[in-house]
Amino acid sequence: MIPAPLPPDEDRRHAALSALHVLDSKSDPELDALVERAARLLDAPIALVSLVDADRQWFLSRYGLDASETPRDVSFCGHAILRDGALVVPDATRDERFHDNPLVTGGPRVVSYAGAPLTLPDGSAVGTLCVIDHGPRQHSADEIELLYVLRDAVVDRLVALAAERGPAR
Amino acid sequence: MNATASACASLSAHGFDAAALSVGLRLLMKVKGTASEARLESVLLGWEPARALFVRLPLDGIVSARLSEGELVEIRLFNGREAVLLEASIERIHRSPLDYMVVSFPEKAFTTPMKVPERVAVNLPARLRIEDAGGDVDVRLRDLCLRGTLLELSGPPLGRVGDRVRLTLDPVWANVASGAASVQATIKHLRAPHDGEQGGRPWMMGVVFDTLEAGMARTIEAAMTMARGSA
Repeated sequence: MIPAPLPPDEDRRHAALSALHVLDSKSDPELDALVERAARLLDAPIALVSLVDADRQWFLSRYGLDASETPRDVSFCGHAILRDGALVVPDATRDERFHDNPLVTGGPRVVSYAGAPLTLPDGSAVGTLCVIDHGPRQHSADEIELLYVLRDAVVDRLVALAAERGPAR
Repeated sequence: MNATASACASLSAHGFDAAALSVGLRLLMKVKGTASEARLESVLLGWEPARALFVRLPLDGIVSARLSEGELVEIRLFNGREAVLLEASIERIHRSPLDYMVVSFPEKAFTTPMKVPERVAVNLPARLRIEDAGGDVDVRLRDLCLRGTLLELSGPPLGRVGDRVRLTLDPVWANVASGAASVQATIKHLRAPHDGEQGGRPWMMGVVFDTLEAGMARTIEAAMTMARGSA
């Protein structure tokens, strides 16, 4: 397993995440609906809005998964936030970065992964919208494009939530 | 998590319109209620509105052999404008040599618009003025759509994400396009040369147009058309 390195702008990225005031908050119905859309339209058993905190990834919205967080050093999303585009892993069991990752070898058995970074207007990638499947999967270009469309809607909602909740929450 | 509820019931579905269909459309299907719920790929051969869809049997003979009449199928399709999820049932299977099946015409569907606009790679000169910073700088448009553009900068950016800018197109190609030549925009993202790329790359700036007036929209459409033609 190869843990994701920290982004070069980690301090700024983490400050931007904290400024959203959504960590450890209750789920949001609009985000839940977007996550369900991602799962249904991409035919994935699991879909998440995952926020990459300092030492964990925490799921603001989740579909098909009971866990609310996992350690950052085993997260796929930690890799995804390093990219401009989506991270697509067709078969994690054959990927040197993930093949012996406990999320792959044990529950929730992540075998295929597609995650689009949630990049805020200031350029900070605070997490991902991702879909996970328990078997190998080759996502089509249409499916990745849909992931981007839904990702953009998630970012818009995060920005709106930050404005609603503000620093005094 | 209720991951097994009917897709079209749990999401707000609406009446299904044949306008979403076209012959040859790729269909992603899943037979509901089976142990594996295996995914099948197929192609739409035709349809009879409000009556039936005609779908080619999947090429995988083993998978096709397992299909049976009466089974419920979940169908996903991407038609270029929207992603569509619908449920139907297999009414009739015509095996070799016809190799197609009749699927009930879906009453309802769940859709999500695919709003990603077409982007065209360009290489066009322009001038950029960042409000409150003063002075124009030369930039090059590297891709273009009706929502915004990606700019290549000749040096570090004077503005920050969220700043308002005015983009003035080079009069040579703007005149060719016979339209307006200036538009207000907002900086959406900045990418430094060192962001995971090899050295020597320039700063890039993504801007989103604030309001695109009709004249400017025509100018941009003309530029996109010219770029497609020279590609």
